Amino acid sequence: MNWAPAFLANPERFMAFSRWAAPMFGVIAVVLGAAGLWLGFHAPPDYQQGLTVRILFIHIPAAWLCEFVYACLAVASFLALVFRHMLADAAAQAAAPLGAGFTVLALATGSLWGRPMWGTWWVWDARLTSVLALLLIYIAYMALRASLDDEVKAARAAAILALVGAVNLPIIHYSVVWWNTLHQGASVMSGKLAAVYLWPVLLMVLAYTALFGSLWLVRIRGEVWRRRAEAAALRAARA
Amino acid sequence: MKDYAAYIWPAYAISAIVLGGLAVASVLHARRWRKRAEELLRK
Repeated sequence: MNWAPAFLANPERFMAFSRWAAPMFGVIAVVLGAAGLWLGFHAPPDYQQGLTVRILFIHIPAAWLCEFVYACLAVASFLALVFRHMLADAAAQAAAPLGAGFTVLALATGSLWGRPMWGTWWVWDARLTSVLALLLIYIAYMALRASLDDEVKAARAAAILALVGAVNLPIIHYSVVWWNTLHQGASVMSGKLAAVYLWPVLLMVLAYTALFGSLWLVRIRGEVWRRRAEAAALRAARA
Repeated sequence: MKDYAAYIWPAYAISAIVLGGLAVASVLHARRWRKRAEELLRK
């Protein structure tokens, strides 16, 4: 079971692994996404929501990913902070823009579903507000990294911010339990969702997760190349 | 679909634009730095 840390500890092995794993995850994402969309567009209208149920096939995966990506960012930040490992830091840095993108999608698609169903684009309830806070944390993380010239200091400060921001994850998850929100409680894991809607949701969740896996690996590879290029430029300047 | 098309299609369009944008930006970022690193390492 120590193969996973070995990847983190060995950039060469990671580059060899990600070279085939990134496109493989991309293909899986396309296949699962096509199947999820096909099932989703053949699902009957919901008796209450009508055809707006189709928005949920892309909203639920984005909402899942915005939390999952942040959990990955926080774990990578922890590893970078404790072990000061270059790949862990590159993984944290690479996850942030992807997480911000999924959070924007969760908010935008949720808003487009909320307008016809709730009669409003936005309410300051606990779920929506905590997800908006997550987006601001992603933005703050990226801004902090970009604002410091010393990359080591920037990485450390951003990692601490990421770990502090992880407090928001249980708040998002349990917001619909702890507070009286307009946003409904958990429906996918409750077993209340009819199979005709559950399958497209599950396929799309897997497709989005595979897409994140692919893009995360591509971005980490880009970070490794960037750091190699900067190290080579520094060596050339000193010579 | 007619009643809610004004909400459903923009949701799918935004998703396609954001996900497509992330994919293109990620690949271009990796390609640019790989090329740059290979140039510098060849010197």
